[in-house]
Amino acid sequence: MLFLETEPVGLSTICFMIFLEKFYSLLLLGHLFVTFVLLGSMTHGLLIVISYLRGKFNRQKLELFYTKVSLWSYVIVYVIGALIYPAYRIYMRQQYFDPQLPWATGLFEVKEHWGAVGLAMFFVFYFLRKNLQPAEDKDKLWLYVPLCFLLNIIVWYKVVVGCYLTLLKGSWS
Amino acid sequence: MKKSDVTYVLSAAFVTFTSFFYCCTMWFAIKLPRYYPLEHTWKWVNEKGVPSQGWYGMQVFAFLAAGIVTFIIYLVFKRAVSAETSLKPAHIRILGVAATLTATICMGYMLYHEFEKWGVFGLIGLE
Repeated sequence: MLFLETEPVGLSTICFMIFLEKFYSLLLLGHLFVTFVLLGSMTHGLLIVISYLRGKFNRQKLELFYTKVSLWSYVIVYVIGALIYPAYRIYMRQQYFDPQLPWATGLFEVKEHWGAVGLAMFFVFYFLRKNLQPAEDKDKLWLYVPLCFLLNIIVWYKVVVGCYLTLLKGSWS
Repeated sequence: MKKSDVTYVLSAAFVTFTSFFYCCTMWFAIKLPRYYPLEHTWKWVNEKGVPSQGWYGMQVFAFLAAGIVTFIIYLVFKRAVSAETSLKPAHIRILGVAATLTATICMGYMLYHEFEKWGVFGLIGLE
């Protein structure tokens, strides 16, 4: 919705209402809080998955629970991220990062690409685990364990870069 | 084939093809719908100088394309492979390694593509 127009050129002279920009800070906070849950469940899950490699399978139920929590927290984080992206694109990227710190946009773009591929991986990770008995189907760990590592890399990269970019510029008001 | 074997094959296929098709949008500069946040509209063209978001289109393309290929694989398995057949351990391992390698290479390419484009390599002295 175009809400106040003073001149037909330039962001500095036109005041627009970007999708969900009023709720940006609130949604960003929600994004962060659910990310804590995601990070905790993924990292704890990884520790149990590493124990599978040592032949210890005594915490399978807990690991399945972490997988479920990870999937749904990732979906929530992802949806919130997709919703606030338009406001970020205009007020952070267009006005600050692209012209002044282009390397920061580079870090952000990798975060987004990995995040998108990560969404597909998360669903696969969960459905694979649902149909898998780690102690019996050891061969299938050849996909499950690397997926767990890759997803941890994606999640940790997203968290570190996301927090760093927010430190560089967290809001526009 | 057992349900868990089918799930395994389809999982490996979906991970592989999602990563691959996502990279295809970069390699072949495939025209996809872009969102223009200032105009609140979607367009197929990439208008220079106007901020737009191609990320939504890229992921929908990758998920749809990978979903279609995975569904075709499912149909082929359903028709061609009997219910009693089970995957050989060597095939399970090869599939796992192939899917992991493809996903890792594609993620590496995404990182290279963006770091090169936005000067991150130059910043850390790798240019």
